[in-house]
Amino acid sequence: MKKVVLTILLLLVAVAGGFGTMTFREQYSGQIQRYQGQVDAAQADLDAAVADSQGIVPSDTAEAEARRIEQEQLLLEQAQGEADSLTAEGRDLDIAISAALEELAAAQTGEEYDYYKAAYDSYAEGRAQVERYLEDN
Amino acid sequence: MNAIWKTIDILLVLLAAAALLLCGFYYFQVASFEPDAYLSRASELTAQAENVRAETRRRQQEQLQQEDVLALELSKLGDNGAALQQQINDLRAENQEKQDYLAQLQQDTQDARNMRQVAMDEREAFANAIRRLEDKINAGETDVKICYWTFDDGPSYNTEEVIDAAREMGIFVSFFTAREANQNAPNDDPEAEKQVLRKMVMNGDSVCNHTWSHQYGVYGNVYGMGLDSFREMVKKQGDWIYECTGIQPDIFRFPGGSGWAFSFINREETEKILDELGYKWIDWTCDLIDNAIANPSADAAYSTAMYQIPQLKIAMILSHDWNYNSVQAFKRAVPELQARGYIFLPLFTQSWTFGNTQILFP
Repeated sequence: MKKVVLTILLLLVAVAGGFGTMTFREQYSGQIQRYQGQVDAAQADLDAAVADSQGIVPSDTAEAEARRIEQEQLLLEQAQGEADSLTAEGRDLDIAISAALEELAAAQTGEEYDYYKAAYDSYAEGRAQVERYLEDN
Repeated sequence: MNAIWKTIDILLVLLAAAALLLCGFYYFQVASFEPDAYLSRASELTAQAENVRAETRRRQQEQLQQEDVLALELSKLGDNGAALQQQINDLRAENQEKQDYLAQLQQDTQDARNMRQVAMDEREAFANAIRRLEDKINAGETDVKICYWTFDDGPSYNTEEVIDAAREMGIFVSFFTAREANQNAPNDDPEAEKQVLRKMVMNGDSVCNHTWSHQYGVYGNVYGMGLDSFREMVKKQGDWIYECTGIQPDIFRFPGGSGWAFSFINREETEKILDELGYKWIDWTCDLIDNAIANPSADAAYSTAMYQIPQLKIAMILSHDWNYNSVQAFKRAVPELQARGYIFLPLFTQSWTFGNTQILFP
């Protein structure tokens, strides 16, 4: 009889132990993972900041002077390039203006052009006259 | 049997022990779990990241300052730099001027190719400006007065003299032309008449329709032969004006005036025809009374003009340039009327006078 009771008690202890173990796991493992996630994110942030800082070199007077001279030279070369480019652009514009003048001269010839141009000038003159009266009075 | 029970007991004891050990393991794990430690570690790492970033910014700033120093203006790089800078500035300014000039040339070319449309747009703007001035006069907001001097039945031998005189005096007039009017001298030569009509347009004067034949008598083909004949006489003259000038006329005056016309032809039907052909019709307010029967002297015509016109702020006078006395009166009266505040303008359909013109004189 004693053995039966003892056996049942031991069985109950084993079952209770197993149940308690499962409960603990469920309750706390999630929390631990969340906190660990925060730590991991902070670590990743730190890694990114370190990566961003790469390539930023501390100032150095000698190096700066060398770069200044190099920059001056580069600037002069760029400026000369710009001047050459503008000169070439000016030449192209001269050519375009010559062509445009020829086109204009061609468009401004002929009886019909003279006729309507004269009419236009007359209307414009008349309108200017009327608008002076509209403004003055 | 006893051996079996013993085995079961041993197994149960082992099972219970294992369960208790596991319980203990998790208990201690939970007991030692400290969320603050995780949070503290995360904060520490975040602070480190912020420090690294601050340092990065500081170095970047330092580098930028160095670059600012290096980014010198050309003008500070000695004479060569200054000269180069000046050269660039001059070239930029020159090229900008050239570009502006080129754009202007291109616009002028475009306008030249579309000169007819450009002229018609300006004509429209002129007409609208005149209408605004008329409205201002009618509202009593200005002392300026307008005279529309109209010449009927031309072109005649005197028409070019009228056009030239108007040009010389800086004024505009309107011509109600009739190809086959009796006193219409240049109609012997269509090309000569065409050039006169074009001269009217070139001087900004209005070229209006006064029918082809001007036969306005009882048996004439304008009123005496039915509305189809009337329509033909109007359309034929309009087509002729368009052929000569390139501008479709849109103002019509009845030979003899509307009162005379409507005593022969039905007003409503006549107006419908004119509307279909694209015309507005108009009479006059003042009359030089220079017809062939009255045939006044130049002095008398001048006196008539100087009596009638100053009585109206917006006057429209009827005259005929085939009568040379009228031309002389016109040339004499215009400067005096100008001195009295009149300006002489061409008639356009935008004018207030349409629908507001009644024959007041005689």
